[in-house]
Amino acid sequence: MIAFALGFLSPGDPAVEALGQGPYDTPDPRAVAALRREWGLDQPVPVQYVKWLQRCLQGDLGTSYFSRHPVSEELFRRLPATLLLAFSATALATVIGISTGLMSALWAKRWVDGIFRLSSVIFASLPGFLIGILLITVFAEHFRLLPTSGYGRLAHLILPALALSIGESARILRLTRTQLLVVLSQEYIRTARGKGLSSSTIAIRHALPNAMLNVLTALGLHLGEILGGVAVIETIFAWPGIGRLAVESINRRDYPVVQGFVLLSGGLFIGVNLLVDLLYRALDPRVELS
Amino acid sequence: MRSIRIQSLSVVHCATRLLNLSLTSAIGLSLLLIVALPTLLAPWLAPYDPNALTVGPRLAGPSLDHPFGTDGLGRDQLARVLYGGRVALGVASLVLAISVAVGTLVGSIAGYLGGRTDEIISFLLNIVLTLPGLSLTLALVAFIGPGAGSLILALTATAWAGYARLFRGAVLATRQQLFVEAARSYGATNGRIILRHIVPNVARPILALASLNLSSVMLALAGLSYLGIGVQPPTADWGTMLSDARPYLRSAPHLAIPPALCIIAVALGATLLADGLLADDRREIQ
Repeated sequence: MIAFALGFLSPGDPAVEALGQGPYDTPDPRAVAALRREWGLDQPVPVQYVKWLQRCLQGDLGTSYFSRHPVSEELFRRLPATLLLAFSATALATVIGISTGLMSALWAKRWVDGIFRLSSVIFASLPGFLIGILLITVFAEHFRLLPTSGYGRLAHLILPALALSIGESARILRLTRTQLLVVLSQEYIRTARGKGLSSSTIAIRHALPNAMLNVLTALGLHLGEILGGVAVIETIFAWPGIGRLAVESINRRDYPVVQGFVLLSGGLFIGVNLLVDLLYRALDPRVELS
Repeated sequence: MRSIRIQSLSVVHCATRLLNLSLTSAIGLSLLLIVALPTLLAPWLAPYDPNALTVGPRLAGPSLDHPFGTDGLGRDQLARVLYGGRVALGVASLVLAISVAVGTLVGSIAGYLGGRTDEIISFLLNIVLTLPGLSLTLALVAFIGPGAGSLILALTATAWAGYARLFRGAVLATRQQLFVEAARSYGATNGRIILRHIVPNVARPILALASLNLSSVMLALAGLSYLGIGVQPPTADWGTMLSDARPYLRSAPHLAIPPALCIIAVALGATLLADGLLADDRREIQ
């Protein structure tokens, strides 16, 4: 419903937009009227909404004003690239964030911890696109180690995935550290220490699994930010995913595609968080599904 | 007489509690002020009109006339950084102010009235809180059309629910306490109880959340402006300025550095302020 309301709020007449060639070019009014009839834009808004909802449920998200292809086709063609990027970035952020968070908690209040905490606050305060530009300038333009943009090979994936994951790994570091410190102060950790286990064994075998539960929830919730960040990063690195498609469609006023993007990213977000809830139950037997 | 003294005492107490900052929050707050104060004084500090074209040669490096150099259209970069900050910080503060106000109102209605009202509001809150933040903001801005007004609307649309949830919880927790009951027994109205007895108790967590929010709003704003769907040219804004500086990043890096540092300083300062406030809360509980 929100996605539909968005379409209704949009300025300008899509039929005029679709037929017009440039800003100074007024299309033939008869052609506009015909197109409005074809797209059902001449009908009252509630009728439009019900029809739109029916079509959505059947998997028909409408037709792109720009390419005249079905929106679902356009989105699903671009989806694998975005999933690849988002998945690699999340994986990278999880590995970096948890390992540095673990080290930070193990050596809490010492210089390693200090360095990690300071850099995590700074990295979490960098805008994603700035990280992207810096990475391109340093690694692609200055040292010419990696391609500036494009899609296809592993080398193309490294920089955008890194740009997308740096802020996220800083947030995971902070969360892992606090969660671990909470768990490490509990009774069963003292028992483990009393058995004579080394502090790294305790942290990795006994404390980390329990601390991970909250990190997992946060990962699911952060996906919303990652899906938004994807739009920026994909645009900078010319990555052919749904984020860049959305930004391009916004600039072209191709509203059905943007509507589709909102629906798809919302669906992905809810789906992944449902998965996290199920996983949570599998990992923590104390949680009961209501 | 007596009640007046108690009131003024509670105000003083509230202020000292808020100002009793830890080192972390003090550093964060000063970072924020260092960036924010000059932008407030922009009309007096800025040496040129931020939008006046070719006040100097194009892409000039830093000099006495133009301390931050000039951009690709010959506009004075220092003036643009100062005025750009007014736009960026102004949009961010409006987003926060509206979100806190709406969130506090909705949250206190839900927490105070309880029952069916609370159920309906909580249901709505859960829906808003499960929406994917940044991609929804992107779409909202796209549909309403770019500009400062739609940025404020789009960013507020996702931010207010967090405050409402926080405030609702706080009201539920404090409503049962003895001092609230005492206030009610001497005939205080609902509005008065909320403002005098419940707001001071949640001021700090709300401030911490607002501070964290300032950081994320700042970053989202910069990203949207960078994509060209935020603040529209020729209005200066830090994100837009970075996007303008992008083609000259290697030939004239001095154009990108000041706006980038300003964005980072605000985001960093806000995060540190929030961190300090939350850490103090934890210490108080222990």
